[in-house]
Amino acid sequence: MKRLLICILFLCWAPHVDAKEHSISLTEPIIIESNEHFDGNGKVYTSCGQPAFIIRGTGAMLERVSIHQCEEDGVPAIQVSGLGHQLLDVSIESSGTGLWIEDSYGVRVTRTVVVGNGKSDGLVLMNSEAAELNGVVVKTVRDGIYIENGSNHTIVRPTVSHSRYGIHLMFPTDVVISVPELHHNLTGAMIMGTNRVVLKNGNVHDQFGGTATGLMLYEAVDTTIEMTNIFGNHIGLLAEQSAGTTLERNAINGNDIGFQLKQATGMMVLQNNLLGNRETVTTVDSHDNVVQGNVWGGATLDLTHDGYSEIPYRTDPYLFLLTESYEAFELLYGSPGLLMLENILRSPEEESLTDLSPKTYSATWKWNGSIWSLSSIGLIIMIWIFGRKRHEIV
Amino acid sequence: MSLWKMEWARSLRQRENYAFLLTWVLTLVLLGGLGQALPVAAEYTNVSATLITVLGLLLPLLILLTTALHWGQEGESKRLTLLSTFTYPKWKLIFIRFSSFFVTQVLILLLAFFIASLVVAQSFATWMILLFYAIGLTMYATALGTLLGLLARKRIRAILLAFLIWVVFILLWPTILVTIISELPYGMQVNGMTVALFLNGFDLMRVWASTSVSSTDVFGDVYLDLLHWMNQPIGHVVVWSSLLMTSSFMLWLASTAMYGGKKHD
Repeated sequence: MKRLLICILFLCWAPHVDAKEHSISLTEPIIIESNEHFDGNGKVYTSCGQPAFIIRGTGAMLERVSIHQCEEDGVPAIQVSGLGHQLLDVSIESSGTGLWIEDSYGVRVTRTVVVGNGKSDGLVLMNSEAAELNGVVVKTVRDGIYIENGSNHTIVRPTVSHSRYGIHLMFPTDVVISVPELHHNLTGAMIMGTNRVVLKNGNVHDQFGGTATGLMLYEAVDTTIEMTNIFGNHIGLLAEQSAGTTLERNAINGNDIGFQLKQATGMMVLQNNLLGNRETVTTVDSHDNVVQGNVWGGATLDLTHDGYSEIPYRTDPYLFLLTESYEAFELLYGSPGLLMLENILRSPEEESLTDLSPKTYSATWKWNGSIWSLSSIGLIIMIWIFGRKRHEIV
Repeated sequence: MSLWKMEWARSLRQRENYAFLLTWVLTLVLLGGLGQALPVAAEYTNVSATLITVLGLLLPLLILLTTALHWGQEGESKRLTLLSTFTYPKWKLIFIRFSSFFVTQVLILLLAFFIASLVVAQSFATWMILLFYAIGLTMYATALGTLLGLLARKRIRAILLAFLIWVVFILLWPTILVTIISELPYGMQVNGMTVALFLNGFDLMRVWASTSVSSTDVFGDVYLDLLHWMNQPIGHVVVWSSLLMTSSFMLWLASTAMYGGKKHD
């Protein structure tokens, strides 16, 4: 019995000893050179004032490591440069940049988690080509994924939350972002100065702050946003000085402003669902845009039974134009009187957007009754009936 | 209490109650059904973008017209003179009429909300906020309608006055604000809008309900602090106290200034 108890005690104690052994404090960075393979076996590496790992050369691989950087450290936890490196199952807690990839080609980052303190970026790609980021999770950093210059990057299933920008693209070309989950950031994705960026099948929702924006395009050319749910933001999608943007089959619902277009030209806005935004579209100096087959929730009439309305839908940015000059009037959003004001003071054609054949849409109801609600209805009707009993005037 | 019961029974027997019930049920069911068909965020979009706007447009109009017409009819038919032979103070008569009508309308609203909830799925909190929004509008409109009806003394004047006030307070309110506030210096515009908010109970209720059901940033950056405060318990208390005080003031004005106050024949 005594031996058994000792064994149990030893078993309880042993994992703690093991855990302690797994935490390794680094006095200098671990450098992984060409074709080397570093398997951390889940150990925790603590580093202060310097990167924990530096990967360089060609075809190096780092996997199964946890990195904990000291507070107020400004240096990246991992620095990567070179060709064809792979990082698998890396977990980083860092006050500096989590993963810094520079001057690289074909770096593949898979299942990497970065948690920061909101002061530095999570994952940075500088002047790199053809990087692949799969299943990256980033939280509480400045920019979740920051890409500057470079081209042909593929980002699959990134999840970024509680940061300034979920994804921040500065001047890269040919970037494909699939299935992004961007929420509770100041802006879901900031796409600036880019060429041919595709964002698809994503969820961009519930950004916070007074300017909470789902997707922001600035001087972006030929951007495609498709099959993405953008909801619960102040502005769903803001496109400024951007050309050739295609917005197709997105669900943009429940934002204060669905689309905000400023000097956005040559756009294709096709088959999007824009129901229930406080202002569907606000437009300034935007022209030559093709708008067709979207669901707006306005009056529709389908005479030909093809699912598209014969009544065009015209958006009017009256209030938006007003609040551009006087932001105090934002309090008038949703005011019933504004419906009239918008009709009296119709905006000029170049500041409105017209869908010539909006998609028709019908309401749905489903039974939600319960015994409680039916009994309550019965009770109120009884009060009504008995209350009607005549009381004679004196 | 017996007079209140009598008034309440009279109020419950009014045929227009059926029209009210039908209007509220149709509004809630139709707009709720549209919102329900949304793929995501149905609650947020439906409530903030359509139901609050439509209720804010219809409810004040119907209640203002009804109450003003009631009191205009009372004046025109000399029933007020008959009531003045009661030993009750006149303010009590006004309050009894106001409260019995208000309770009736709350009952009808409650019934409409319960019926709509059979086919429209919203969270309990959303239904409650919407219900309180409708109750707030009803209280304010009833008090305002009482004042207008007593001012008008004739049915036709009461209807015209009620409609005019609805046009000013609901339809023209943004235009009035845009005209006046844009003349203020930039630094005072937000303060001006905040003060104006408390001058119009209908608008105050709209902002309160929109913020409660959506989020504090629904009206942009400049109102974040105000609306955050409005969403705190103290904010709710201040908003509702303000509404109650304004309604009481209008009833007092109706009683004292227009109807002779506590004096009775």
